[in-house]
Amino acid sequence: MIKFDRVSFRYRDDSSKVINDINLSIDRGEWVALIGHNGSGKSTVAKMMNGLLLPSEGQVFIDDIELTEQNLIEVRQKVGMVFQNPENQFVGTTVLDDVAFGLENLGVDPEYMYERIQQSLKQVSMDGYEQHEPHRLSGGQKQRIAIAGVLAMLPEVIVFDEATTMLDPMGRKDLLQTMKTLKEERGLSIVSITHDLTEAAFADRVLVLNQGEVWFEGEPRQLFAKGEELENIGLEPPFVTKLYHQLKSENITLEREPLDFKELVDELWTLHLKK
Amino acid sequence: MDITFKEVDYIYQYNTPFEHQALHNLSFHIPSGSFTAIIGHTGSGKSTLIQHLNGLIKPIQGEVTIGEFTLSSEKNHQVKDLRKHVGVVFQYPEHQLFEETVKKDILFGPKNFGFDLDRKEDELADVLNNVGLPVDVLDRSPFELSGGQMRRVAIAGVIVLEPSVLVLDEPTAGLDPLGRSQMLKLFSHLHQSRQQTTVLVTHHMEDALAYADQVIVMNQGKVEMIGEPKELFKKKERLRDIGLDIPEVFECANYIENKLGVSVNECQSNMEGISQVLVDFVKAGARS
Amino acid sequence: MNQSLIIGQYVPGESFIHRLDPRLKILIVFIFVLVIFSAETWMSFMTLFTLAIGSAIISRISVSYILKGLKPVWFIIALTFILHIFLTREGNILYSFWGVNLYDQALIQGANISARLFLLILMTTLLTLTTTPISITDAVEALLKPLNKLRFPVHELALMMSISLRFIPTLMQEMDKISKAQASRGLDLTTGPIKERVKAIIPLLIPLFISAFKRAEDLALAMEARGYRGGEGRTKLRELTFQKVDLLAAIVFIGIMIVFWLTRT
Ligand SMILES: Nc1ncnc2c1ncn2[C@@H]1O[C@H](COP(=O)(O)OP(=O)(O)OP(=O)(O)O)[C@@H](O)[C@H]1O
Ligand SMILES: Nc1ncnc2c1ncn2[C@@H]1O[C@H](COP(=O)(O)OP(=O)(O)OP(=O)(O)O)[C@@H](O)[C@H]1O
Ligand SMILES: [Mg+2]
Ligand SMILES: [Mg+2]
Repeated sequence: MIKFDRVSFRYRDDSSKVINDINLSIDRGEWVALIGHNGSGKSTVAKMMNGLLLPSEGQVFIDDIELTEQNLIEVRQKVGMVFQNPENQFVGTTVLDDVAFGLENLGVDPEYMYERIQQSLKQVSMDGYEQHEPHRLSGGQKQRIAIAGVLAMLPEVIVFDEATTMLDPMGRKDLLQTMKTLKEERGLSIVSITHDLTEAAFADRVLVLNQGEVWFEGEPRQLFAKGEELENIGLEPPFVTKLYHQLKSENITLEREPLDFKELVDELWTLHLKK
Repeated sequence: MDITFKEVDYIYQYNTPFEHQALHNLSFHIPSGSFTAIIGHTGSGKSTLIQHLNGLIKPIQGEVTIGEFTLSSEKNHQVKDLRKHVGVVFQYPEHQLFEETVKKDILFGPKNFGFDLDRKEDELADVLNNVGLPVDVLDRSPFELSGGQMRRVAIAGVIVLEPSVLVLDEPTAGLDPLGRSQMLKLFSHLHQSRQQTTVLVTHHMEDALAYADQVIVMNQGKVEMIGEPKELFKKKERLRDIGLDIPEVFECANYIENKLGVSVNECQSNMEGISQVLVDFVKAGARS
Repeated sequence: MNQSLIIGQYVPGESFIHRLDPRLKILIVFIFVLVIFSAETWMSFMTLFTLAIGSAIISRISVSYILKGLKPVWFIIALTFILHIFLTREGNILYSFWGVNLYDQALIQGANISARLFLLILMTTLLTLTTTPISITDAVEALLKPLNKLRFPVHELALMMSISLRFIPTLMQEMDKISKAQASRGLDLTTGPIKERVKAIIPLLIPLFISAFKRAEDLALAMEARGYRGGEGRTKLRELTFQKVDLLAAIVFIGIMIVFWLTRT
């Protein structure tokens, strides 16, 4: 779906590399979490996924076609993006106009627009809000409108660049649920950028960036198993990892690294039964 | 300073078709020197509440008392004096920076309030140290700094006033985990070393549990509950109904009680306690 | 922030006026504004007042709300009136006190000008109160379309307008937030000598500019990510349609204008 082949990036010709020779791939229908400390290069990578930035060295492929200046529009239709600040990506003066924006850009016939807008709004549970103005919506609602705007363009991948960071816990949970549904029901690939390891647990695969290089790639479980090493690169191990760490110091080990406390307790329960 | 709200109502855009009542009949008390956390879903009125604490807005009905100051719907001429004693750090405070240098920006408050600037300048090194910034940023432009550093400068601009009450509106929003925990430790340290009354608005139940000695739960402009965090977070259903979580430790403790049938008592509601319960459980299994 | 100022606000509603084609509304207001200045007789003023106040009533927006919202404007109108009274020296002296003469022409001209100002503001306010900003920009784009041939960037202009409109409430909120943050740091805009007060605006303006700039940057990126590349090859969701009610309104307006024209001098 998306493939980076030895990609490097610098913002100015005379400045140093922000992204240094990375390879990565995102498969169809896969959820990949991209994490790393402030300034590690996550947003830069995200922007190279839909041609907002073009690599200084190396190549980016979308569906096996190399991304170039010439096919930007097709790429942006396939790879949608949702940004961090819900306020600053709302183009229209009403929800309806905002969701239509992408379709208008693609030159879609207005006759089909309403139907596609309706469908997209329904998928993010925002139908009925067509006439609402952005400043009368909550942050979480604005983010869902942003998703609807992308969905209407019928993408194959959506990249979420810290889309949950500015939301309250409820908004965050709802948004994650929406992302999950999209993946399961529409088979979309999801790239989610986050600081929150609990959020990364949703992913099939995690990529950790550290100073412009891939520091880790693998399942969330394997990442959690790194425990204290995470702190060295500015990340905080989740509650369950710390708890499991304590248990390990008491010589209690499980067959696999737990993803959340439910898994941990459940495993202990079966362990207990077996004895 | 003691803070008391008595039957406070607040309405935005009062007397227009857009009228919106944000606070309903709010009454509570914040003792001097306490660390109070305010939690509640988005739009529940937390930010509206704290703007009453230094007279940025005044109640439409009712009364707010802060130390000797009283705010009601009438005009109050002492608000500037009040603001000297109550420091407020807003959400994303880095957006308020404007001076050419960090030093000037930090001294903006002291200058407005007529502090002795020479003395304050001498204290700057101390203040920077408190917020975890190197002294050499003083002569740099605040706009050259990273997001996290800018936030620290903005916070320094408030704590340099040494307010008796420090009010913080989601001060850690958007920081990475490391930045977050450093920031919270700073506030806890200030609270203890200065005997400062601290009011923290937060979406993180973990923080409320770890630092507050009183929690005010807001729901749709009303006080839903008020009390000690440990007591309060036991009311899982009630919190869930108003869209709030409980800290993960409590969730975990609940889950253990249901699943394993062992009880986790109150003082075990922390990481060490829970780990101990689990260890005991496994060892008991090994013995039987 | 002055929350009672209503110029530029939209009040949702379903009235006859709300539902009119925005192009027609803009044209009507445009013509109205042009002809205001040719009104001279009592009758012609009465005609215009009937139209303006009639529209206000049909729009079902509370009259007291409109009048209160125009409060700052009252001041300007009153000032114009008073200036006229003191500065005009034509016609017969009606009254004289402390060496100041009050001429009858001064009264008439003052009233004339104030009435025109009032009508102008009332009609334009009514337009924005009953028309969503997006309809206004759509209508402007449609009305200016012929200029496209002259290579005038109509689409870009309309987009710019709609984005500014969309960000006005956001920037007002931002302004409110920044001024509260600075007030908490002791900034005082309400007392002290004028010079100090003007200087005190800097701590508000700089953060506001920076934030507006940052927003513009973010927004440009978000637009690009959604495939924006200018007006070319672009379609539009809304097609404006001229309906029966619009025709009716147009006829009524033309009728009133004819009455006006006949009574004008
Ligand atoms: N427009 C730009 N011009 C120059 N340098 C930039 C620009 N944008 C980012 N950088 C630099 O590139 C590096 C990577 O930035 P990037 O925004 O990709 O990080 P990030 O991982 O997304 O961080 P955060 O968690 O703060 O969002 C940083 O050192 C940053 O200072
Ligand atoms: N300037 C304003 N004008 C009109 N309504 C407002 C204004 N500020 C806030 N409100 C409304 O008042 C209510 C309470 O808002 P407030 O900002 O106090 O909530 P909050 O609990 O701080 O929310 P959050 O967690 O999102 O910061 C909300 O419904 C909000 O929409
Ligand atoms: Mg980023
Ligand atoms: Mg708030």
